[in-house]
Amino acid sequence: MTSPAVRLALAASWRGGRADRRRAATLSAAVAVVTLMGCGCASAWALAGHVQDRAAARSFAPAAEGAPAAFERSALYDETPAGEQIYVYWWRQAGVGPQVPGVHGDPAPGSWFVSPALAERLAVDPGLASRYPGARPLADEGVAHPGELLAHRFVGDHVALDERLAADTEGWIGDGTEALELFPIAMAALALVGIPGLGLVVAASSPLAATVERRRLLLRALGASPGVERRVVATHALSCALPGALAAAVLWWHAAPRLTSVPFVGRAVFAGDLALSGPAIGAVAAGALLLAIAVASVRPGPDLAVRPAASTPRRASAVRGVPLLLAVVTMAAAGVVGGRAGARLFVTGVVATAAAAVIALPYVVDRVGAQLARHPGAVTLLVGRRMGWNAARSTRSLLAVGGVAALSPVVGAWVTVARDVDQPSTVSAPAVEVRGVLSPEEVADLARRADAVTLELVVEPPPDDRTPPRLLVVGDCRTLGSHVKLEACAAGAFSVPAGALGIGPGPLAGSATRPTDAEPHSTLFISDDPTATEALLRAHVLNADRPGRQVAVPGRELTHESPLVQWILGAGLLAGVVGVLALALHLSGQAADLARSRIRLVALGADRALVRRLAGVEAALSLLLVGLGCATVGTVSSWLFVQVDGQASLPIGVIALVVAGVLAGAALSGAAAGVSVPTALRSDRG
Amino acid sequence: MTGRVRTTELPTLRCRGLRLRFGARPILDGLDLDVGRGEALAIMGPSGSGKTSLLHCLAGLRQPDAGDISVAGAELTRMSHRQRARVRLNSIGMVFQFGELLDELTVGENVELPLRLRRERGTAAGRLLGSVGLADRGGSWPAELSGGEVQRVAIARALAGRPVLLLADEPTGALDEGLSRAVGELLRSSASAVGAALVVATHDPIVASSMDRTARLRHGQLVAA
Ligand SMILES: Nc1ncnc2c1ncn2[C@@H]1O[C@H](COP(=O)(O)OP(=O)(O)O)[C@@H](O)[C@H]1O
Ligand SMILES: [Mg+2]
Repeated sequence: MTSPAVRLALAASWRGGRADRRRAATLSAAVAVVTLMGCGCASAWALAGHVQDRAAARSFAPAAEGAPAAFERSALYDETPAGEQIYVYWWRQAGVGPQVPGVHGDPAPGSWFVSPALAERLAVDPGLASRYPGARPLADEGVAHPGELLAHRFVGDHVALDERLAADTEGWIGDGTEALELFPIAMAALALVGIPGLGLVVAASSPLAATVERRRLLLRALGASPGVERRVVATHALSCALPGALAAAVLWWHAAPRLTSVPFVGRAVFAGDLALSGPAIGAVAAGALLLAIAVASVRPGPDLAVRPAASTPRRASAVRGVPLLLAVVTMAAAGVVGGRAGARLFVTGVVATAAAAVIALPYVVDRVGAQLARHPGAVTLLVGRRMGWNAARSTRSLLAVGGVAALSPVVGAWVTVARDVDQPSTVSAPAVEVRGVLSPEEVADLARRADAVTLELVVEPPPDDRTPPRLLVVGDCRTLGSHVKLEACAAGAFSVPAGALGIGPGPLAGSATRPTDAEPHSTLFISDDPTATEALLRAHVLNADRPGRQVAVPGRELTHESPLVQWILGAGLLAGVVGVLALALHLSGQAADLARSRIRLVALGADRALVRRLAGVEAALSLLLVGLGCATVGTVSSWLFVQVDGQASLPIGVIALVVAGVLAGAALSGAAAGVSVPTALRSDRG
Repeated sequence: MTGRVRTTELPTLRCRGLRLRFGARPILDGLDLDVGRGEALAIMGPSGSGKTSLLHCLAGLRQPDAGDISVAGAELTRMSHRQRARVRLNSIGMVFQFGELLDELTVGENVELPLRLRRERGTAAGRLLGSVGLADRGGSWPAELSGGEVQRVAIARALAGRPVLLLADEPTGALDEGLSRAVGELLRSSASAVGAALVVATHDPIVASSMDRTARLRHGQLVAA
């Protein structure tokens, strides 16, 4: 039985009539899109690995105590005038050991190597360029990704550096932040790529479902076993979807290694970073095919387009609301739990809520349909009854749209937090160290400004010959005391003897710190008033455009450049596009569904206008109910998010955008469904 | 020709010189037809002879390539799509081989649908269903009815709009012999009860025998049987 059954399935897919072929092609295209989405996610994963590997290649392990160091290094910080962070490393190499990755050519003391992205900025900004005199380009392997702003400087023996490093790299152990973000990112990918992708396949296979259902009934009538039925359905779905999955796999195999930016995200990458291995692409394509088979194998009850024996309406019950209730309770509970566990619980609750909303909505559609059917008008009666026929089935293909509407507000709220993480925060540490040569004029200027912000300047004598003197700017005597490890206060005033510090508090004589060395001196600003420190920093360091001057913030973690928002927005855009595709499929499926009733209505004397109105109202109303219902659920989720995370704010703009999108979509689909209904009579031979 | 006018008034249905071809093949070839008020005509012919095509023309569902069709004075062939739909709604009732009830509506709602389409308050379902012997099935779904019951509902629906012309296309094609006779007679009696002209396309002699007269569709023309 298998072989004829399989042949039957194949005949129904591509070798059937034109309509069959069109349905098969639709599923194929949807599976192609899903395969590409899956490949994109896998490639993003691979990209993250490459970026991390290259970052790891320059993170050397600390040298053991007493053992010789391969490198000495200080991690510093700089900013472009636009506020972008620049990673600056100062290096000293011991002999002919390993090289800093990407540095080709002689790293003579005083030489600079900058990443391609930074080189681009330097080329258009002479002020910035003057801080990196004679910069040579870093090779690609020394840069994590093409957008990275990175500079290496090699210094001579007389500059003190902070870290002593061994030759072996640490491998990527991360600094905690990466691992922390993995879970929400995985969930976000599931929600923004998984749910719309699933929705697209569901929408694409629902026109096919009628054919499949007819075939199943026929096989049953012929006495086929349930196993054969299942095989035929699976073979049918597989044969329809296979060309799409294969085409997408081949496309990605060829295109991915050549891509130099991430589609939809727009992030620049090195060619090859998005490449996937053959088995990986094969696994993704196989997953997409399995998804198509699984969706085709689900039987959501009677369809108006098929006529199985005794099909009566399948009512949606209120029980469908229970998962939604549970998911919302989960989100609320996350607020009580708090902390990292709470955050995970919340993210899980958000994704569960989006899925549960789609499960619950058929009940709403069913109830609204029942209300409409009470009205005397022919159109309201028909729309109401059609909505209530099998609401679960008819809203299934709106899964993608509903998912996007439910998730966007929460993702929007999340972005408001992620943005904060993303922005390089303003320098507000209590201490900021400046490396560079300060001229006497600048010291005098600093003193003037220090006075303006009521700070004191102190020059700290060098502890040894190799360390240059440091200029301290302190806010009060206690801060000074804790820094120089002396009792600096007496009755609330500075009491450090001038001799102990080389020069006492008060305006400085230019001669005190006159630099004689070509290599920079250290300057330490200390202040209890972060804004004062920042003001000093910006006024005198970042804007001074002095050669070779960067800023280090001792004890302060550099904010890692996080492209999270870019990725979220890219995934959101992709989800939106897929949602629109799924909606178009849903509408065409609905129009096909209406065909049988349309012919009967025309025979009864309904004119084209009425059939159009029927199609339009049905299309617009189901989208409105699902879209606005899910948007409401999404708004509640994002409100809960704001309650849980105090830094997040309600994304009014996103919610308004979703609602406007649903309204516009409903109006458009109403109009489109009305226009696309072919009302010319086809020969109605039973 | 079979067009024998029995009264001096204009016949309810009047066709002259109907021509219809699909590709090069003529289906109707200069067909003439008259059916008077309350008269019942059976059109017989083998499968593929063009019975359905003719009925679709008579209902205004398809425009013939040439010729005139007048239903109660309305010149269908000179009308727009919308005007023909109006005539169909107000003056014509149709019954098909498989009943063609709307699956998504209950039996009662199916019967009332022509009235609702005319924006009339539909309350006649009970009486109409009673007249076809299905008074208590108004709340059922079409899928819960037998083939014969479906056809009786379809007849009740076709009569709901008080048509002057009742068209039935193989109304017993899916029924057994006993049911065929019953449905044929129900059609005949229902049509005469409202004074409608009745045209039944059938290849079933039992049904044809219930009608006033029978014509055969042959080579695109009607000949008296
Ligand atoms: N829309 C159409 N396009 C082309 N040929 C058609 C169409 N409808 C019917 N036919 C052909 O016209 C002929 C008459 O069909 P039909 O009117 O259904 O005959 P009957 O009802 O007597 O069986 C048949 O050969 C059929 O194949
Ligand atoms: Mg026929």
